[in-house]
Amino acid sequence: MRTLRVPLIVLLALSLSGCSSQWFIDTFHLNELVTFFTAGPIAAYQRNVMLFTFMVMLFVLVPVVGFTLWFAWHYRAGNQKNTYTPNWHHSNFLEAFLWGGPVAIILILALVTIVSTFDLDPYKPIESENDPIRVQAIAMDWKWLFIYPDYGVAAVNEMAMPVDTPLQIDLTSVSVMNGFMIPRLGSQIMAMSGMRTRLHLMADEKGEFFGKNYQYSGDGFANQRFTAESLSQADFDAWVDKARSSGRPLDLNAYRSLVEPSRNVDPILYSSVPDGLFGYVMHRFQVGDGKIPPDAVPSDLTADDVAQHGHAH
Amino acid sequence: MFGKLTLDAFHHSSMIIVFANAIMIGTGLAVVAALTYYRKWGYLYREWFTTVDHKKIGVIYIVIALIFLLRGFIDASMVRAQQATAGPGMDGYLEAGHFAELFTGHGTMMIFFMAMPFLVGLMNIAIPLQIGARDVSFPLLNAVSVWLTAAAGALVMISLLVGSFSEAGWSGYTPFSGLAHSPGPGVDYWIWALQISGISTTLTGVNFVTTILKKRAPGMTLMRMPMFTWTVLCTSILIVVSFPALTAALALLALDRSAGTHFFTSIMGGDQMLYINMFWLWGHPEVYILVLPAFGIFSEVVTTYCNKRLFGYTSMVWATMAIAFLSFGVWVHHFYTMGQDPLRNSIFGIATMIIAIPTGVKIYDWIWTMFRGRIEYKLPMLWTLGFLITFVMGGMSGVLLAIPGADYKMHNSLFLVAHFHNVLIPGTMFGLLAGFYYWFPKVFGFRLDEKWGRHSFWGWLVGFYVAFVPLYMLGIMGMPRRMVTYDNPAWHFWLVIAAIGAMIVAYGIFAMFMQIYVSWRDREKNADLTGDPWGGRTLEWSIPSPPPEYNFAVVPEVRDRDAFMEMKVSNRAYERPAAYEDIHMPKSTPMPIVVAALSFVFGFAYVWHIWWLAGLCVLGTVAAVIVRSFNEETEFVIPAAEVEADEDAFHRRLKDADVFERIKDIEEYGDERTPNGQFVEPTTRATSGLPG
Repeated sequence: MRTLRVPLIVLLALSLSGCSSQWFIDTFHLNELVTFFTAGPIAAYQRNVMLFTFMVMLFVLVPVVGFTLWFAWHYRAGNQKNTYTPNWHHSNFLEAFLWGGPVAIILILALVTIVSTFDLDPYKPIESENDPIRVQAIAMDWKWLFIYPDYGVAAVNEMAMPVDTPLQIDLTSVSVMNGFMIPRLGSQIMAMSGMRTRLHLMADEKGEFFGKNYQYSGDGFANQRFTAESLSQADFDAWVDKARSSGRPLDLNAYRSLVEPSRNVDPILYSSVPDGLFGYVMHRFQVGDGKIPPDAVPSDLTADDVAQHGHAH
Repeated sequence: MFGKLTLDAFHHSSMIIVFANAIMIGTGLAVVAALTYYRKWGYLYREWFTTVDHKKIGVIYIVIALIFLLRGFIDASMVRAQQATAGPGMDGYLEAGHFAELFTGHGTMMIFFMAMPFLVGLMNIAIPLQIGARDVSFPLLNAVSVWLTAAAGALVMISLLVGSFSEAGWSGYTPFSGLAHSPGPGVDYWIWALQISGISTTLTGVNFVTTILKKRAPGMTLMRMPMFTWTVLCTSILIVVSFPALTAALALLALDRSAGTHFFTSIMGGDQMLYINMFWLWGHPEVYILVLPAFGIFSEVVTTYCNKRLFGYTSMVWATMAIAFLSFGVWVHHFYTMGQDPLRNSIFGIATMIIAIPTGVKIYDWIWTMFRGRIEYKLPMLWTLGFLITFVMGGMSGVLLAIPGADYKMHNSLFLVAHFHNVLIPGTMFGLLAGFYYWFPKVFGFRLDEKWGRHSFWGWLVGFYVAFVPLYMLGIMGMPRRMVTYDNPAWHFWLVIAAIGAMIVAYGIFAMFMQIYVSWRDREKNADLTGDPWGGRTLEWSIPSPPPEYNFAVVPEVRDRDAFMEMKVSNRAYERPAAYEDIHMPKSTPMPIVVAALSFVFGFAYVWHIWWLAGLCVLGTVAAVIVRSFNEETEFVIPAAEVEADEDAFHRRLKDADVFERIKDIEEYGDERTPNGQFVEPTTRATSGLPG
């Protein structure tokens, strides 16, 4: 007990004074634990699943650590007064608990798994009063292109959404496999060339969120990040207007130079984008060499739905 | 003539790589010079390079593992140093490409050239001794395996000097590892290093399945096998079944890269997801290949140092088999985020969690083995306790990641990195080290120093927590793995702590090498004259340390699980026969090193597209095998008189150490020793109060 005195006093002192807990939070940057400070229903659900699972598993952790330390101390060889049963090696009674306990815990967690996995299916639309906004994300070396087909605008390394409005994000890649995630909003999903994956997200508070490619993709990977802004409807409309009035159309030439590898790319807004670009670039991996041929013209672009794979299999 | 190999391959823009090469070449030259000066080449050639003795082969494996432990750890430290110095407003000291080579190299080396050889080394040393055999079933194949591993390791080493290593991560995901995105020689080095070591491992698996099933001493039924033997049997079966998936995946990737096929490319109908499935179809069983034998080691250690029979042996066996079987049904959990439907993800999630059940049972069985024991805190037992406490955390984060909904959030983050280090370091590394300390006296005839060993243990354990708890925090903060730079000050704080943790682990590793040196220096004082330094329970402790080449002068007869303890109890330990017999043993042969050297050159030639040389190596290998097959004198005889003389000497040592007196009174399965080696009368031996 004497050895514990100093840390106990420190802990007490910390917990007694409010400013100390603030000091604690600041020093260890606890306010950056974004997985717990969620900004959308998907992320909040995930946080709850994780916390619940953690709680359930304390029923494993505590006995294991407790029994280990207790037995390790109590049955040390130096303590010759203890009962010593060198031949004892079996007990049906104990075995029933040793198998039954983990089975019970896993039964509970299996139920959590099934329910949460269906609820959190990235392909499942989010229920909301507001209609979803479609976004098409294309992973490139090393930036993200976001197309808003309903608004005819696009942006690089920046995306915006109205608060409380679901996003339906279709993803593909024109390079290697990428992993799209905005941690405060929810799930990660892979973007792969020639294929389309889909992710639904929604922000229920306003703010600027960090987003990134999470799957290593080469030299520029570390800086392949973007800002996701959750705005009021009016501010979102203003953002769309700002893009439209930027006077920078994403035509095929602009697209071809954008595709070239580049690092540390600052956000760019595009005033217009050819219809069907997303489906077309995906299609080029299914039938061609993945590149847009030099003689292609916007009228070549097929409609979005022509070349879609649906679920990546 | 030289394919793609030009002088450019020797040019390195990074001073760090030039410096590393200087150290590597300098060390190599120093070793060669020392061996020449002390005239050790002949000895090395006769006793080690051409040996087919499983104990020596085991030692070679572990030497390879220790070399790569250092290299893999240097890579890890450089990654930690980069991330600790690359915070907001800082760039660190590494280029992105070099950083990628480091994390790829770290993973590849630690799995394939540290953990696997260490494990196979311990298997080689302990298995034939535990089952009362004089060698493995295929000694020559065994020698081929070890030298193939060395050749593959050499291929990784030479990539530092000629060209570069892969930047595609240790799992080499397509299409990144394809020719279009990784045109350099790095991925090819990675492919052929893995391919050659994979063949080596497959041969080892075949060898040990056969050895365990066919070469057990009379009386050793399956349910009397020591737990380590059981886990190695399961691991060997896993190896034989799973490694072909890796071999096939790598072969197809090699074709993509050098023959213009499109199995895994982005275009022409290639399927990048197919590679990822194939890789993890091997990769997940591989996790259990690494961890099951460590579980076996913990079982041996717990029973020996608690001086008690293993609790729940039958449960342990079934749990091990269950883990081995289930490990083939969970590979999809490595890529829940690749877009499968929720039904498929849930099935694989639940399958993954089910593995936690037998694993939990094993943990509890070890704990209940400690119950009412007499626990001696020798080094292996310390590692086991460190494992029990730490591993359960890794298991918890594993169950968390097994839930697809949670994994969608944590995938590819540092939380994942923390998780698998949290299972592999306590699970595999601590187990391997426990086994290393446990069997070291058996192999070399002297014990390892306890003081430095404790320093090493605390360095590893404390260093582990300081290095990996921050990674859990960073994962929850949303930091992806494999970032060469970042600009979040919160991340920087925790990455600096993690780097400090790596330094503490470095002290643990230093202390381990110090310990080996100190113990070797004091080997007379630490000598193990009786062959049974710990009061052992299994057959390997019934023979001298180091064992004679033929292991057992007389093949023992097994009557119980704790075979040697049973002999002590029933007063038939160290029994001598009326007459000894001649023993036939396999002869040394240079064929394995020839095959391995040719494999190394083949790998190198393939990497640089020197096709004529690669072709010659294939022909050379076939020729070496054919030449060997005409050799009909592959065995030699150790005469009975020599065996008897060895045994006489052993029994004199046993008598001098009063062993016969000490074991006379043992009536139960407990040991006769207290921690300081004093014999105590078996007094306080109450019977169990528990039902059942």
